[in-house]
Amino acid sequence: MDRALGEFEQLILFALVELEEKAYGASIGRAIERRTGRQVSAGAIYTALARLAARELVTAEVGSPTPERGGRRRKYYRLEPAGAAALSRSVDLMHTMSKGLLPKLAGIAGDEPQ
Amino acid sequence: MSDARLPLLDRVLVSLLLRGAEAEVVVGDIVERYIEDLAAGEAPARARKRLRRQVVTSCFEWWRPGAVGERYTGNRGRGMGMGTGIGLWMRDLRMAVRNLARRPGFTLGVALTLGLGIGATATIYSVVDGVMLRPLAYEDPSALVAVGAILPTAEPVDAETGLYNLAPMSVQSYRLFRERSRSFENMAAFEPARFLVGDLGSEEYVDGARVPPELFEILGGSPALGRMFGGDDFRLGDDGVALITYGYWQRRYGGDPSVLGQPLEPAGSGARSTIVGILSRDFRPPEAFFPSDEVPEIYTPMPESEEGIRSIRRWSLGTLHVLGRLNPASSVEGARAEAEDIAADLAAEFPDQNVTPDGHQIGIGLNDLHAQTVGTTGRALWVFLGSAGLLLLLTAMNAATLLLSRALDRKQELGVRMALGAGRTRVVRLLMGEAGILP
Repeated sequence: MDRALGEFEQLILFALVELEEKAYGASIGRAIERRTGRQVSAGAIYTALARLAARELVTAEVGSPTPERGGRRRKYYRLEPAGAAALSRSVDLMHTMSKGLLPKLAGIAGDEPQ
Repeated sequence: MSDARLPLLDRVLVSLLLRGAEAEVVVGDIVERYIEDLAAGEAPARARKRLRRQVVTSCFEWWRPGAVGERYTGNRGRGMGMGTGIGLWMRDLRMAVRNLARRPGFTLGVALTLGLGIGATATIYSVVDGVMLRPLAYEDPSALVAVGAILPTAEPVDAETGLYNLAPMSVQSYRLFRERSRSFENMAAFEPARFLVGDLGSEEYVDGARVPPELFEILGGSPALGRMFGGDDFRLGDDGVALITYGYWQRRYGGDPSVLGQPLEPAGSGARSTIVGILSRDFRPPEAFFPSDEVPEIYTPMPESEEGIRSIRRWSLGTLHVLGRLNPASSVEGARAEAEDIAADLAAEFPDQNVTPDGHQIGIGLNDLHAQTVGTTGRALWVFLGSAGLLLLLTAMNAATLLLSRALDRKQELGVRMALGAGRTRVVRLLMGEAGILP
């Protein structure tokens, strides 16, 4: 039941943490792009958000029409406590697992001819 | 705010693939990013490109299998685990395939009919496109003309195409014409020739041409390997150098680069030409001057000496094909009028060469090169294309009739489906699926 979070889902949840109540598709995409340099499509963000909403880690609320996007409404997402817990669990898991291994990892990666 | 609208193509994509509330928010985000990109000083073309990519990837992302979205939990769900959207489409499509497979005779018949019609049309169209619609593959092809003698023994103008029947020119008239004409930027006279190629035992005759330096200036030509002709080559004459076309190089020598520097003719055959270059693959020989099976594949330099003239005494003994490039200021009509004047002058000055014993004058005429290349095949090709189009229409009608008669047969099946709860759209989708798969 408690499936681990995917990498992309983690990125999105972190974006929600940063944006608080200003989190909607475009701002989430911008936040991920600004922090990681990765370009993400709006569709990918929404499918991931829909997955997260289905697991009740986030909740959605449709805002009122906004003129700067042609009168289209925004859908704001909010991180739920369950989502925050899942995110920190998944980050902790990585931390715990990687403890003491990072130097060794860097060594192996350094040996690898790119 | 017109900026907030998506371009038409994107709007169509979105409306086809994204539905309802999701579309509004997703499209809103995409538009917002687009406007921000523009405001941030991004080039409009780049911003549009990015917008397009966003729309396309978003639409596909939305329907990616396994991308579980709200569409499964929202109030549009249809219950009974049937899902909506692409899943349902796939189901209908699969059913359509099964239905068609169940009647292989019918399916094969329709597919063959349609295939025949489409295939024939596509084939004819590709020929028409290659011959008629694409201009000659040379620089500024509309300025290229073919120049030649108009012999009194033949009809001067071909009744079907309106083109002059041009005969090869004699060396003398060519030289005089070239000297006197003011309509041309460049002119090249070349002579068809056959070459004996290869080693003894495997030798063959190959069509070629002796050409002046101007020919490659007019047609453009670059070596795929080796070099083109240089100034000295034209002084040496036949016992010198040769260029071969890319196609011949591949066919005869298998693309072996070591042919450069090899003799062209068999040892002991008397002639001695060395292959110095391979013409690049995109070089198009002046096909208008040759029957289709005699297009030159070997080029040697035309000697500039006067010797050639000695053998040419009689009026009819023309050997030179002449290709000209008109001045930007000249028209084909103007050049024609000028050529007539020059021909009249030549007839007066050199009656021995330019007037037949029974008193007819040899004229000089010219044709637009593209028109001459297409020649009489042009009209035939259009007729072909027209009939192929009719054939396609017939096959489409035929297929439509078959499908219609089949639909009558299936009244019962569709009735059962509808009684079991298939909606109108569902049935339409099934039928459209079948009709869509057939071609």
